[in-house]
Amino acid sequence: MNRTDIINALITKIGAKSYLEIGVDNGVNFNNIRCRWKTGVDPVDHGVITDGQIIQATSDQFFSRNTELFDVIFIDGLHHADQVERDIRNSLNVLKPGGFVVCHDMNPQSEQAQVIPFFSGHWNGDCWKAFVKLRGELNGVEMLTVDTDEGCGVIWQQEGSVPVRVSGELTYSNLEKNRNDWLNIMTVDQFKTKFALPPDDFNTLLRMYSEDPANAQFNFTLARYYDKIDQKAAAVTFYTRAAERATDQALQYECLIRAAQCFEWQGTRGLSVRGLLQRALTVNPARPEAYYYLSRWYENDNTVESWVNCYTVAVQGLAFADFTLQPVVEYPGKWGLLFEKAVSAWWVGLCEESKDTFIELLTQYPIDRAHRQAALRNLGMMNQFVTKEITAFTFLKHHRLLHRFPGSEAIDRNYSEAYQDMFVLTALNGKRGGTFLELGAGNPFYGNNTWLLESQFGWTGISVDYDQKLVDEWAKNGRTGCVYGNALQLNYAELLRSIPGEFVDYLQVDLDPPEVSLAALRKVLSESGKKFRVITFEHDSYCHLDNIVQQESIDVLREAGYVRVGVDIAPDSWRNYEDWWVHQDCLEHHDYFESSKRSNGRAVMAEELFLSAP
Amino acid sequence: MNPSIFNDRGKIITVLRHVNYTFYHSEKKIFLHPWGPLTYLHPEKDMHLRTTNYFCELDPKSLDMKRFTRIDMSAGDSKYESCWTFVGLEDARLFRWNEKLYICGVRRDVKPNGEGRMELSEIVDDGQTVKEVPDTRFRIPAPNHPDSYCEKNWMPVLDQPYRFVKWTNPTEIVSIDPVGRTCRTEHLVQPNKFAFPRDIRGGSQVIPIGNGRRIALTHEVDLFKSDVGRKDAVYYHRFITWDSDWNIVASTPVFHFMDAHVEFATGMCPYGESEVLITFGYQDNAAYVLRAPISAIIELQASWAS
Repeated sequence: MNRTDIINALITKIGAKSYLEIGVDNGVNFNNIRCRWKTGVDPVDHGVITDGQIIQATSDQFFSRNTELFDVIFIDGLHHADQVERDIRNSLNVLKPGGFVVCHDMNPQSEQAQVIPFFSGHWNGDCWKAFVKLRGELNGVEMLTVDTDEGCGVIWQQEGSVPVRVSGELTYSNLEKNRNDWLNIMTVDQFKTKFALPPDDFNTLLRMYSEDPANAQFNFTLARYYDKIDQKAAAVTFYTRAAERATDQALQYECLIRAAQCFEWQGTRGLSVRGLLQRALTVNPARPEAYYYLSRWYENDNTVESWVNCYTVAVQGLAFADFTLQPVVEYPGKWGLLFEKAVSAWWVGLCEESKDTFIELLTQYPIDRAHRQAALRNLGMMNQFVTKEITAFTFLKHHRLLHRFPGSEAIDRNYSEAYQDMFVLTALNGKRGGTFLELGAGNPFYGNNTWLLESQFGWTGISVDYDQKLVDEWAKNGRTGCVYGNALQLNYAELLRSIPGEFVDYLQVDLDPPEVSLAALRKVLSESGKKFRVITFEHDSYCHLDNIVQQESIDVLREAGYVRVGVDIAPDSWRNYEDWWVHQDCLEHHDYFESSKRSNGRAVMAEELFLSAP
Repeated sequence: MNPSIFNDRGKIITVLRHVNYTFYHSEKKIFLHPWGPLTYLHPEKDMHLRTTNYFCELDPKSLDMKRFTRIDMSAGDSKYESCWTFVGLEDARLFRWNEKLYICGVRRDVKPNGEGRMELSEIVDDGQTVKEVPDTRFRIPAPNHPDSYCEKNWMPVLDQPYRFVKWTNPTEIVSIDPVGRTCRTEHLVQPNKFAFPRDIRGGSQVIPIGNGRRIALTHEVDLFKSDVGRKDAVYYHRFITWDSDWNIVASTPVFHFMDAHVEFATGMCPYGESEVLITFGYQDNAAYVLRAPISAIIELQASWAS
């Protein structure tokens, strides 16, 4: 039993669905972990191809941003005691109740193997020091070390547990004297017994089965074994036998779905897959898993008839299944069926329903990276990233304006897509004669953030675009001040020389892709010699798989003395694409937008920040 | 599936049959496949049921697999074009005659009507690869009934080279001449005094056990239709012992190895002084080795006789 076996056994024992691994390296452990949702963290991109997601970050960076909880966490990152201690503490903070933290390399067998820094040869690092230290400090936590594979620490929360007494300095010589006590070492057999782990060696499973071949559970256990070693035909046999001998409906249901999955793994046995899933559905129509897998089967079948069936099964599942039931097989949850519904709705011609369902998925469900990517791709193909109609502020809505400013009563309408112009005027209390730098000028009027400022409040400034047609459009329509240029190559000190004083009132950064916006932001802040009273920064988090640009922009702007007053601003209910910033010296009106800071990564509709309910 | 085992002077070797289909059997008729309780699910884009044979060497003590390699049958395969849905040499037994290592099983893809005949091939193991020796493949003609549709499961008699138990009750011994390419019935013993309820078909090799006696594992099939008229079957096994004149002198009751309705043993070999190794396929989807004391078999036979 090595670390992988220990982790898999614990995952099986508690029915874990989410797994986090700190220090993925070449993926040799990560890729052999059997868990539905797998997240790996490693600062180095090792090019690991996996069925989970790998986040390229240090563990500290990851934990500082992470909001997820995990069932099982494996720590095998930087093998320095201080880092391991942080990793364990951080892991316990994001561990689900009943979960486990497993740590590798806890039991070095020589002094050289634990010397910091690593120089050569067999090496465990001094992880053990963190383990022993925490054993002496943590309340409500149990810790033991399984004596296998360099020492596998296992940590779990247990009410009432108190720290153990660790006497003596944490030196290797003391470790040798106190190894069993300090590390709380257990043999593999003791560990298995303590946690009542199911046997995992084939001969034991086979003997149990042979002694009672009519036992559904023994058939099932053998099936699981064959399934895990990819002997799918044998697994089908034992799943079928287990299903036919089970008195427990849930076991029957699970066996049928798992047998179907075996056929699916084999490939080109679609009718058998479908038949078994349909049969599972008849065993318990209230369970959701078969609906999900059956609708997915129809999706993969990709015929006109199958799309109708996919949609039908997904809708039936959403209507009839009880999603509060504990899953008996891995499946994504309700959002999995919603995804099938969204995809199939489009294929059967229900495009609006498809679009709405995708948006619902993106905004209301914790969908995984792959499905998020697919949902975004589909919405992009449906042309849903473009604002088709701007919901403008007009004088007719003035009575609902929450934060009025001098001149607001005279505004006929605004032009921004998401009230950016109104934000600038609100934050600067209706300032007249202000100045701006607009990177990514776009259309001179439609969706433009500076036209209201210029036309009604007398602002002047410089707009930049890298599209000559748009620059020409400005000139043709009588708007001056738009120049053609690459925002990453401009001399900003020169460009802004005509604007007097320390401050420019407004900086808009809206370039494509958002990585260019970030680079331009850095360049402007570092080279222009100016500060900006108000900044709108478009990070487009909604249509990217991660929010790295947003995160980095936060670091950059905070470092430069700006305060984020608008978070995940969106023109509608789902496209959170922008953050709003105010310089720390200009914060008189920032609290107007306090409510936007509760976004938690979800879109904050701009209009709702400015207007009361009708 | 359906492995055959042979103790080759202390080296434990097996032939393991790999198939491209997955056998699905609803033994209790609760979760039937749409095509029936017992179905062979071949890939949907390939109507053929294909067999490939692997040669495996087991650790003589632990019986763990030490090595395996696909048996290269290209020397014989290249001489004909496969023309039936069952492709390859099926349920091959492994044995040595006159110092030569052979495999012998049924092949049905030689004629367009699927006629099955036992085919014998010499193979050679160089420690890394295992190949069929060119020009040794012998498609054995059916004695007495040259037009019979399918000959299969003949059991090689280990201590009588080029002889098979073709049928168990009445026991028919055939001898072959691989050079002259002939086959003839050598013994045909009257039906046994024991009352066997079903035809007894071939299984393992036939192993000498002293005093002129020989033992083999045989199988029987209870083939029937399900309630909705679809094929279904239950397989049984028994140990049969013959005397030196090929009279059946002992039998065990029928049994299943591991409770499955479809199991099939095609190999048995002595193991040490008091045990045998038996190899059998389980539902056409898995293969197992069973180590059994000979005394237990004798006890079983005694219980049946009484």
